[in-house]
Amino acid sequence: MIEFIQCVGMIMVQLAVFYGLGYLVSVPAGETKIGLKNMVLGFFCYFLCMDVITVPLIMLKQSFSLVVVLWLVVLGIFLGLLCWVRYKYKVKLFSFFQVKNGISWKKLGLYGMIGLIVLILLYLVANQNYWGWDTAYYMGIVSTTLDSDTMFLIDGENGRMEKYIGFRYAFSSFYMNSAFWCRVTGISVVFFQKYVMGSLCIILCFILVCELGKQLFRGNEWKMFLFFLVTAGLNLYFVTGYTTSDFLLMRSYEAKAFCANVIFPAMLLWFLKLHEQLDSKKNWRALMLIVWGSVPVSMSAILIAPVMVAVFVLTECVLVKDLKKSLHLCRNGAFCIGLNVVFLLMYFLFTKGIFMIRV
Amino acid sequence: MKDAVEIKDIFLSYMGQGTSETAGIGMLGLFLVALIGLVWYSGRKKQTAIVWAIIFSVLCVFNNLSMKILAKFTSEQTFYRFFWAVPILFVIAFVVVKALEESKGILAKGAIVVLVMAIFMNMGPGFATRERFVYSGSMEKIPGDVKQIGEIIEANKMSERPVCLMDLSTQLMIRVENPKVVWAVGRNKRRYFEENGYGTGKYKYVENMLRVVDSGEKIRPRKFKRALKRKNVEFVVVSKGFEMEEYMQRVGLNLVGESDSYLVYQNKEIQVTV
Repeated sequence: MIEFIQCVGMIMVQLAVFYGLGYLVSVPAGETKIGLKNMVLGFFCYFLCMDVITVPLIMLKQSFSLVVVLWLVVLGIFLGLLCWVRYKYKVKLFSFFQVKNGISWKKLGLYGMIGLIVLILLYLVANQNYWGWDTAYYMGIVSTTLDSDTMFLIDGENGRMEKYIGFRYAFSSFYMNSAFWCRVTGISVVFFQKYVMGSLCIILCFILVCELGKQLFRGNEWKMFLFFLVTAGLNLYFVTGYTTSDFLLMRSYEAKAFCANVIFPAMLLWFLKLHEQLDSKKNWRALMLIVWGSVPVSMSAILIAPVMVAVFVLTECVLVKDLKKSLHLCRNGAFCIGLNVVFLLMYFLFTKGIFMIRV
Repeated sequence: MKDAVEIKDIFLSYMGQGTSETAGIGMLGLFLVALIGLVWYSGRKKQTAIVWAIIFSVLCVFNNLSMKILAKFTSEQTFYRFFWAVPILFVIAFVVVKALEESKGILAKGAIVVLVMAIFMNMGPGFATRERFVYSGSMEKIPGDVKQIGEIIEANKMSERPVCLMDLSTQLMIRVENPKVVWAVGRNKRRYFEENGYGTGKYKYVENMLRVVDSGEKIRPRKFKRALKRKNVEFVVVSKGFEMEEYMQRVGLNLVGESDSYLVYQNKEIQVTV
């Protein structure tokens, strides 16, 4: 029971941190109403910032304890910044909960139903017992980091010393985040990965489904609810290997699951937003944050995210039929994929044996 | 994942084949129908341009030639992830909601709901099975056996990071319980024997070790001992059901502890690493 409460508490803490960071990046950019989509932006900002700390320290073969100390300091700075931004911009932290003309029971019922369905999904996912090779690998990365106080110097799967730092995983701070919270709170690796990260994946995924529904049906909440229902049904009724549903329900604690169910839907959402307002700086910045944060969340996005941005930009270039606007779009797209290209280049050099750091 | 067969596998999987869990209409079939719906509802509007662009691009990427080129940047084994970029679920859901929106009268709407439900039901048992609703009894996913084995190894080890040989189910979980444990047999070699079986003549030492811990075979003690020495294995964990006590004595291993279902033996003739 204590562990259950710890896990629920940790889910709340992580969501609060994402929400706070979402507020931090959105309010100075001109947002006056902070909602759940800002929490998604906060999620990407969180992992991007963590990557800034962890990747150099991994390359320098520093101890994991140093990451813990530095990240605690950074979180403290974020908290200070949050207070300052709140004071300066006067945008309410929880403007999301404000209802203009009293409570609408219909709306409350819809959101209540969504919450209930997500809770049932969380229960089903927590109750299943999948444990495969990748589970052993990823749980192993976290437990080895905690045990040895090193990062990626020991193979998380089999426990053998690595010859070189494995950049297949080291560019992503996803598992270091789990190790950080396990160290700080004392929650076991299995509990944190399986229940906390697993639940976060599902919650963020369905926040994005709702936001996509709102975007596609121009804010009509009833249609958004139907869209959510069908998506949830499709996820529940079709689970085979390789599918996004498989990763959402069976392996939700893996970085890959976040890639399939959070990164790509988030990109799609902001593609749709940009499609409507191509010159919206706010949306371009949001897309850049998502794409820059994609590798820190999951290495699976290293190539696919830039490809998706390129496809979007080329499509829009064809649609606008204006050279000046097209060049502007290409420049924005290039900014969005900049960090991924750097990571991709480093990873390519790593696979060719040119950029390697001996353990 | 090497070539055409693998890409075909991905498509088949999306069509509901290749797994024992689901064998219904399949996501891909439904998606193709939804694409027709998308054309129907969007007409010549530009709103769906992005979706089409993504679909066509991914299909352009999703072939063997592209796979070979892109595998230079990323692993071939991760190629299936390109398919995630196609918003399959969202296109289907969008078309269903649009169909409900456009249909006139309660009967037409009801018919669509019934159709969607029928399609869902025909997709296979899916994830929300009755068994999954029954509480598994514990949030802890690590069996007591694995915990006990982890503790026995920690209490008796001579090396800082002891190499341990055990059956697959225990091996997959042991490093969460005791991260100092080093696997005697890695994923690739285990997979090799899963796919090809014993007796191929390849990885003889590994085969000899797996024959003992996975199948409970009492191979010649000298052979087993040589394999343990070669891989510097310190601990051997075998199921009690195999009744290997006498055999392990002949091999020269010492019993150092037991869990509910396993016996833990130690090999003292190892090169100790600190």
